[in-house]
Amino acid sequence: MIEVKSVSKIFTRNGKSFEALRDVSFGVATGRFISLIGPSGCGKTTLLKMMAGLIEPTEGVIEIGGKEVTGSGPDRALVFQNFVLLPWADVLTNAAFGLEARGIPKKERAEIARAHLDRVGLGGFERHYPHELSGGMQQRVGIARALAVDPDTLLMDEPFGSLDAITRKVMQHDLLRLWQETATKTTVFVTHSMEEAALLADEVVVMDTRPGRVAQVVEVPFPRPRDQALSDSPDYVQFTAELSHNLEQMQRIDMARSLDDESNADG
Amino acid sequence: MADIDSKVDGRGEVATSPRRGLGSLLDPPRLVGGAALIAGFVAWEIYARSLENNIFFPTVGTMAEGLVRLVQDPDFWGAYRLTLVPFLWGWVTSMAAGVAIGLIAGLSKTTWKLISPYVAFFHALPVSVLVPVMVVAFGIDLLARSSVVFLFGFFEVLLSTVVGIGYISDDIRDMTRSFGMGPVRAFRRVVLPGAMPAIMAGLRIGTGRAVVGMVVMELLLVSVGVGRLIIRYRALFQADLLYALVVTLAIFGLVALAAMRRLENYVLRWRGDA
Repeated sequence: MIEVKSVSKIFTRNGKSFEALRDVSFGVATGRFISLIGPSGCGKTTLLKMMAGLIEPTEGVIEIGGKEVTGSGPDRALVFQNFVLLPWADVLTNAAFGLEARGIPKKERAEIARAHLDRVGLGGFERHYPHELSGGMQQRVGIARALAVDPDTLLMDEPFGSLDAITRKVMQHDLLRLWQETATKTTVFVTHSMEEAALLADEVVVMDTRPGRVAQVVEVPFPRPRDQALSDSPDYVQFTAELSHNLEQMQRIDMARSLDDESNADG
Repeated sequence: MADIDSKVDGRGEVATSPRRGLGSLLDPPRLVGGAALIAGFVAWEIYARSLENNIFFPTVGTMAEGLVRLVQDPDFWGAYRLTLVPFLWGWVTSMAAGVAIGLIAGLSKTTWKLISPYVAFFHALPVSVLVPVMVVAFGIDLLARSSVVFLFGFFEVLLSTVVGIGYISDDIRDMTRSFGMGPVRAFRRVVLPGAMPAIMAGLRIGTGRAVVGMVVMELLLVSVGVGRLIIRYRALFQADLLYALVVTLAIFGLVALAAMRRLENYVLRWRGDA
């Protein structure tokens, strides 16, 4: 169970403060897959990094399993938008990084990492270096690295955001299959694609900007196990269209507001 | 890898042939470099022959003969021995201290704030101007001569190491932190390899500067080794030997840099062809 309780975050840089999040509250039941979605600048990545223990809230607390998050912990693992592999280490070492951080002996961690590389479809690439892999394959290493530490909570920060459209589709379906096989992991998945959120998540937390806040929490009505066929069904198409429309509205309002701000600043 | 051009010829057969052209011919940098070197020697030879009096500017042939005489002269080897001892001391200590202090300064902001004014000062200063000061302060013994070489190399290595640690991306720091890796392990597995490209570049450039320091030390500080020979040949108008000696210094520098380049490529072999 993840509980976000009245979390606010104010960043201060060069004497200027910026309100990234205001009074954000919601909960994620254990074993659920939720998606954080919203226009850029709504603080969704900030919120995720708070859950990971990399950023501290200015106000409020985040509790995971009843304990307040004060730093990173072995119960959580993060998947990054730009993969963040170590370029000097081969695929196996990268996948085993989290296990190495935990001091697991070399032989054992290689074995575990190898098994997870097989699961994400990278068996045989253990001795390759990241620069020899495509973006999609690099993110597979990133996912294997996170799963290898067997976290209770999986935190994913726009993991497919920097991939091309086709690779992205393939990755979405592979993640869907992978997650349904391991179904007990609580997952928070940041994205700005409604289609992605509706395909993968049980629940979508829609956020709005300036300041970042929760606008809407939507239950995704499609039963599991889901598969590729879902993305062609009329229900799915209608559901994503509606939510996408809402998101678009938000973005337009935000744009109009920032134009106002600028003209006010000029005047 | 050679590009393969496929084209269909008149009879409808597919012919494949490696693409040839000026580009691929000029591709191996060694060939180009060698040709440039030969062109330089030819220009030198033409100029030297055109002079009525080439006592101060020998032809390539005379210089080469001088080189042969030089390597047979025990004085030459003795001079190098005298010059190389302080070079080796200064070089090894500057590289080791530069990396060590650079790592500390790269990891500790306080340390960096403390030393950065000095680093900026010594890095901006032409170190040669310190040499007369050092003679006054330390004399001309081995320590003083090694110190000159040290000063030439040290700050380059120190600065590169600090910069290298700074270049490790926030993402990689976040990633390391998110998996809860302890500081000692993170230093070994993330910080050190992350800073290694910059450290190796610093060692290579620092080595070049240490070689410059060696020559400056000989010419400005105390002429016991190669510097003494340079001064002697100049005084005796032995231009062929003088030029030959300068060429040996250049060869020494090139060999030192090539060795560092090799080491760099070996240590950073994960970069592949880059």
